[in-house]
Amino acid sequence: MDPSIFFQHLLNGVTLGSLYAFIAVGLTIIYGITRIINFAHGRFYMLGAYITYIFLQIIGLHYFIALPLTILTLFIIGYLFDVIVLRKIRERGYVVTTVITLCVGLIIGNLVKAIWGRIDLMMHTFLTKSVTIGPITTYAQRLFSIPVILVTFWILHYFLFNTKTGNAMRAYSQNQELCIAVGVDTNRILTFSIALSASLAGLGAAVIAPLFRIFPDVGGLPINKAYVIICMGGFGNVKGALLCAFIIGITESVLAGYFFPSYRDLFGFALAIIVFLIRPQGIFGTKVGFEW
Amino acid sequence: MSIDKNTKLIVIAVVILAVIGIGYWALRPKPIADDEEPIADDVEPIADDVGPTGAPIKIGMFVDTTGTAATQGLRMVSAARMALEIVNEEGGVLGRPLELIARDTASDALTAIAAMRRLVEVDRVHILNGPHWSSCCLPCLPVSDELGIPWINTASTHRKLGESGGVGGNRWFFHTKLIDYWFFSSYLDILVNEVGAKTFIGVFRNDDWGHQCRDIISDYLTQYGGELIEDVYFEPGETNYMPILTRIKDLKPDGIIPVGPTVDFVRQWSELGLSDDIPLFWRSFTFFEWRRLLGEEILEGIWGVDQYTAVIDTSENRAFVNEFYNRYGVYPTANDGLVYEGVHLMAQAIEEAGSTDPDAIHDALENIEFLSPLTGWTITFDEYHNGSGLIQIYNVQDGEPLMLYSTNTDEITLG
Repeated sequence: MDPSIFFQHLLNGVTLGSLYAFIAVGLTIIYGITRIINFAHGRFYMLGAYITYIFLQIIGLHYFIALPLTILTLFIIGYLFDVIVLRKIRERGYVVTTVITLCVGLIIGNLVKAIWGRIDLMMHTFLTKSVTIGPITTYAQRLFSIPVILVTFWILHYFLFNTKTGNAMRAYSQNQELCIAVGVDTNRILTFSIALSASLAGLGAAVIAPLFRIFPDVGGLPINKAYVIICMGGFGNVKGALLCAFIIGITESVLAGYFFPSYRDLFGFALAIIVFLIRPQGIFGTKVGFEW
Repeated sequence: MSIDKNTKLIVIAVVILAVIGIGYWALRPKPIADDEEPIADDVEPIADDVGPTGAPIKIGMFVDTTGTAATQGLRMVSAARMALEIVNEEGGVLGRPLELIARDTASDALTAIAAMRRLVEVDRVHILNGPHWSSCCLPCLPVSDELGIPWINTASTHRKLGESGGVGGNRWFFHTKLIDYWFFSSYLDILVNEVGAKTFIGVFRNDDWGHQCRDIISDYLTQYGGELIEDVYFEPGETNYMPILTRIKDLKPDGIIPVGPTVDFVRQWSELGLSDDIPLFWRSFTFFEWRRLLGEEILEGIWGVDQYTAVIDTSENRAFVNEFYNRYGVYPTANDGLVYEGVHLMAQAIEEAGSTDPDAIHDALENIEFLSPLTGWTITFDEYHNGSGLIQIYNVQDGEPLMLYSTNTDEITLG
């Protein structure tokens, strides 16, 4: 076995895992705190890709300026999504909220198609250049995703465990009534959670989308994988989502690369079924709620 | 007057959304980049006078406007509209305007059949065009006999389509896109015997078309002394080809034959540094559109074969490419050009038929000699209703697409 090929497959898997992680962690945060399965979440990733493109290719900003601006824009979009839509229907139950998020996702998708048409776009950053490090030749952009995801989730962990808002988010997911009773501003917590998860999708898009073509249905397959990942990791469990994202990404890339390149998606989904058969609550799932 | 909190919120949200919408609209991709030079400097203006009157002659187009192939499908509709506009501005057909009615096939065979039926039975079209993918086209063949309307396909290339029309049993089915035998017959001969590549890995879309391309390639390679050492399939809509390309890097073939992947494949091939060692022998050639997306450098050394490409150097083609880009912000692909050509062909057939009677159009098509407005090639149909066409092989050298070989269906015999 050529070690350079193995490391290349591994890197492919880590990048794919990063993409899944950015989407899945946002999704699991929303579910863990608000109990909503947000079917519009994949569209946040798509919006993030288009918004990065606008900042980078049309306005001509430097990538490192475009990146935080994308995160900020998605944070605002997530905030508006909650204030305008979700806040009004939060008490209407699971079915209504799920259907509404699905509708919002379709509206966003169609709006993008109406504005941009079906034109394929491609981003070019100063990192979309091949570099050779030891046995691996790849775009620097792909390598860049690794420190970004490590730093992002370290910051997220720090935020959730060491800040007042983070503690309130965790507390709310564990006991909503008690939080209300002690005066936690629940609307603020819920809105912030959704804005945070949208901004994670935006960050994922800004980091990963330059590696791929941008089109209105981008993010379709990753969001499907992200649903499987949050089930595998345990609903609402950030650590589970993070770990499973990388397990699926690496499994798909390595096994497909070595054995059955035509059946990449088979491995991830088969692995998920095996996990569900052994641990229906997911690898880290202990109860339904938000956990790290 | 007091405004409640909810109303305030809604007003603020509407204002913010309006600002975002306007900004987004203003910042959307412009049809022509400032630094982009038009391809043609001798664009002929489209005639101003609008002549045709009376009931329109309806062209029914069933193509993917949603689904996996929607990007290509919508471009084909745009190309058809452009051709239709030109025909109408030149006086229409039989003094009547042409009208295009497009129905969605959603990249799905059953939806394609439903769309085809609806066009004939509800919309009452006089002639049909579509669909894009062979896997949608093949199941429509038996339905076309029942519907009894001339149908010209300009995009599908499955080998079964080459023996289906005319004496093959489907009276109404004509197609101008060459079946894959024609492309691979010449292409693989040149790759093996002149370029010197012997071992190949084929990367195929996982559908009827991809699988039959695999069989054709394998047969021809064996015949010419080459070998298909591995065949790999990807699902329609795939964007991540890294596992496949990394495997190819490991297997080190003399070349890759991609059949149907998206432009992501080219970029990831370049990302892995394969461009120096393992060339791409693409089964199509979309130079301008790839250059728009990827830049010039990445395309260096790529090979491609196609029937129509935007790089064909005739003044009419340059004018078409330039106009297409000005209108839609993208360059035409082979299917766009062939649809554009196809609408002109339909117009001529109806004109020669002298009426919209299906039998008369059918007979006119069987005897037509249609001079392509883009390539200058004259299209005729054989007894299986296969249109004659060009087969051109390109290689990108020093950033420019060079046509290295050009032949046509009259010059070669399929082995």
